Order: sequence, then C-alpha cells, then structure tokens
Amino acid sequence: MTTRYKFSLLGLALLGALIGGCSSNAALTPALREAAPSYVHSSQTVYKQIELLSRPAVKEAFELFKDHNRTNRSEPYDDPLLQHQIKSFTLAFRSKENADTLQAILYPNVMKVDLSQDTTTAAYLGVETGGATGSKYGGRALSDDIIDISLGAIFGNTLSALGLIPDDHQEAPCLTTDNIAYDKSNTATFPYIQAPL
Amino acid sequence: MKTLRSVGTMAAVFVLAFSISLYSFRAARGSDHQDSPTVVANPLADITDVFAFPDPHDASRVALVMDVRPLIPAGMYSGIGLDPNVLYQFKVANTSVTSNAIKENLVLQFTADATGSAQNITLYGPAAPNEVGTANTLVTKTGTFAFGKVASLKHGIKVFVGPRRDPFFFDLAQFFKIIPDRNYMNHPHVPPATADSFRFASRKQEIILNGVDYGTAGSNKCKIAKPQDYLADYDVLSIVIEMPKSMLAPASGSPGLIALWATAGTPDGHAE
Repeated sequence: MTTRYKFSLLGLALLGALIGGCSSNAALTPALREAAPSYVHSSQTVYKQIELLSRPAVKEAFELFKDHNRTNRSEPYDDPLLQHQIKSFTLAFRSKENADTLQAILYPNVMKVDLSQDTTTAAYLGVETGGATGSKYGGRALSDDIIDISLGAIFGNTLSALGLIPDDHQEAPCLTTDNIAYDKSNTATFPYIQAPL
Repeated sequence: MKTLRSVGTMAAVFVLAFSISLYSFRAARGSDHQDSPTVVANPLADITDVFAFPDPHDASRVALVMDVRPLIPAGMYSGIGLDPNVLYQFKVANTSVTSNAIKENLVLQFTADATGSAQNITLYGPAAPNEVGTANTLVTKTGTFAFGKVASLKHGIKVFVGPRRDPFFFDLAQFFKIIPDRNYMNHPHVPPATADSFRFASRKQEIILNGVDYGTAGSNKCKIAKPQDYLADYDVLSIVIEMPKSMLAPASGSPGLIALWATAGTPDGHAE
C-alpha cells in the first residue's frame, strides 16, 4: 500500500515535469535542468511579435479564428482587419448604431487606464464608459466579470442603457451572461492572484 | 535493476504521451487562451490575460499582470517556467490616448535565462522603447530576480513571476458551441453551432440587465443546465509588476490616461 502510494507520487511528479517539458523543451529532471545552458539575451537580438493581448475577449468575440494570427502580429493601433470585424460581426444581429459604437469603443485594441484617478478600484471599460462599470480608473481588476460586461455590450442593452444609442430592441437575453461568477481567492498583498492549485 | 529501469522508461514514455495528449486534445479555453496556431504551438508564448489595477492599499501604485501558459492542471506547475527564447513585454502609451493617436512610448520587458522553473528573470525598463512597432530590442536592465519569489527592485518596483491559479472565469465550452469557429480544434472544417444560448441553472432565473427585466431563462427558451467555469481547475504562469504610477507618467508630467497592451516575441518570429 505504502509502496503503491509512493509510486503514484512519483508518477505525479513525473507527469508534472513532463507536462512542463513537452511544451517548453524544459529538461525532464532537476539534475538535467540545472545542466541546461543559460540563455544570454543580447542587446542585438530583435524579437518579433507573435502574440498580443490587451482588452480581453475582443479577438475571441469578434474576429474569425483564421485572422487571430495576423492581429497577434500587429500593433493594436494598426489592425484594420480587427477594426472591420468588430463592426461586421455585430452588424449580423444588431443595429448600425450598435456596431459603430462598439467599434469606436473597442478600437484601437488597447486597455485604457486612467492613472490620474485617486482610487484603489479598477473597473474594466471604466474609462470608455465614464465610470459606468464601477470606476473611472478603468484597467481591469482580477474579479471583473469581463465576459458579462462584453456580452452585455454585444448582445444586451448596455450601450442604450448608457444613453449612447437608441435601443434597437434586438437584445438576445440568453446570451447576455455566461452565469459564471468570480469565486477565486485573491490575496490582499502582492502578487494578489490566488496561489496555484 | 535493468527491469526497473525499463519499467521507468516505459512509464516515462506513457506519461509523456499522456501529457502531450492532455495539452493537444483539450478544447481551447479562455479569454485569449490558445487563440492562434502559433501560440498553440508554444503555450509559454500564449498570453491568456492582462490586468491593470491599483495597489488595494496605496492608490499611488499600479500593478500590471500578464498571464501565460494556459491550462496547467492543478498541482502540475512544478518545473514550468517562462520560455527563455521569448521576450515578454508590457507596452504603454501615455500621450494622445484621448484622441486615440496611440503609439507606445514606454516598455517593460521580461526575459528568462534558462528553461524550467530554476530560472532567473530579468526586468528591462520601464523605459522608452528602442523601436516603435512589432520588432523590438532590449532596453536598459533594471534588475534580476528568481522565478517563483516576490522581489523588490530599485525605484520601488515589486515583481513576481511564477505559477498562480488562473484568475479567469468563463463557461468557454458553451461559448464554443455557440461560436464553433473560435475553437482551434475545430479547424479547418468548422462544424455548425450546436447552441444558441449560454447555460442557465434554472428555468426561473430572471434575466435582468441594466435595470431591464427580460423575463426568465425558461420564458426565453434559454438552455437550462449547470454553467461551468472551465478555468476553475487550472493554473497559469503570472508575470506581475507593481510600481509607483509616476513611473508610467509622461516625461515631466503627472500620471494620466494610458493605453496598455502585452506582447510576446521571439527572435525568428516563429513559436520556437
């Protein structure tokens, strides 16, 4: 029994090491890892962008998967493809005012943070909505329900409720929330995010 | 002894095969988890989330977070570190943001010096970038610190790079039934949608949005099933930096409106 327990522990340890290893070329054991060559980062090396993220879920909601790779290699202010698709996706089921307004809010594809605000509360899209999401600071708190905020703007009445556009009465109530609430345990101190499981 | 070793080898091969399949055959999940073939090829360059918020105890300081390496199963983070081939960057524009004439004028860069978690991380900046655009070189080094430990660097900068529970929460499996195109597993032959609704726990659930009552889930014919946070049991690697917000202010100005984004880059522009 004890032996079997030890073996399963060993198996778990191996699995952990190998999951890391298979994706990162990490060495498979601590001994090997110590022997891995150090990487020297030269000031001459030019790193070419392969991945980009700012506002969460914008690519995922609006842009065709086949175009993500191009957006990931673009500057967030030089991405006419994403800019176009924010509008064209929305036009399929909402009014032109909805589509135009979402495009104006979400492009350029950056996260806006107002550091002049003297507050300890961040709120996703707070800058773009004048604080309607909870704080003019904007940015994004760990507990911000960015999915429901996004779904409300795309499928719900968020934009008309803010007085930005008339209600087009084309809401899709079954799509305005994914019904998942934040239940993870932030810590009050740096680095704030819950310890790993 | 020989038998033991071959059993060990077989176990390792099996475990390797299993762990590869665990990564490859799970559906893509997240706010930006696995969002292009390039980042699926290298999860260590896959940025899953970006956060920006004040220190909860000190409004004069700001924390920036970039999460990478999606879908580390609970308890399995041991040995996983940043990819030393990758340059991880926060990019900031702190002028002309109101007019949307956005161009980065500050960068905060991170590199690792070895594979695995026995690595040291170096922070460069925040400083003006050497190049504006998607091809970048390193700016001035600020400090080096160990993976997995909180460190204090000069100028009041605090840093941490290491495993954390994925803070993102989303019923992504249901999202992929609604928009199958967004799941990389569905390409190139994307199946039709199999749902037109998120999942609602009960027929009686009221759908109220911005003060407007849209009736119950049942009356709207929404799907009635238990919603599930598909990130609930996974860890990620978090890159966290906190600093006085004056460090992100325009030259000789006070902190104001900034635009923020995060990037990952490699020397040849491939996933490595």
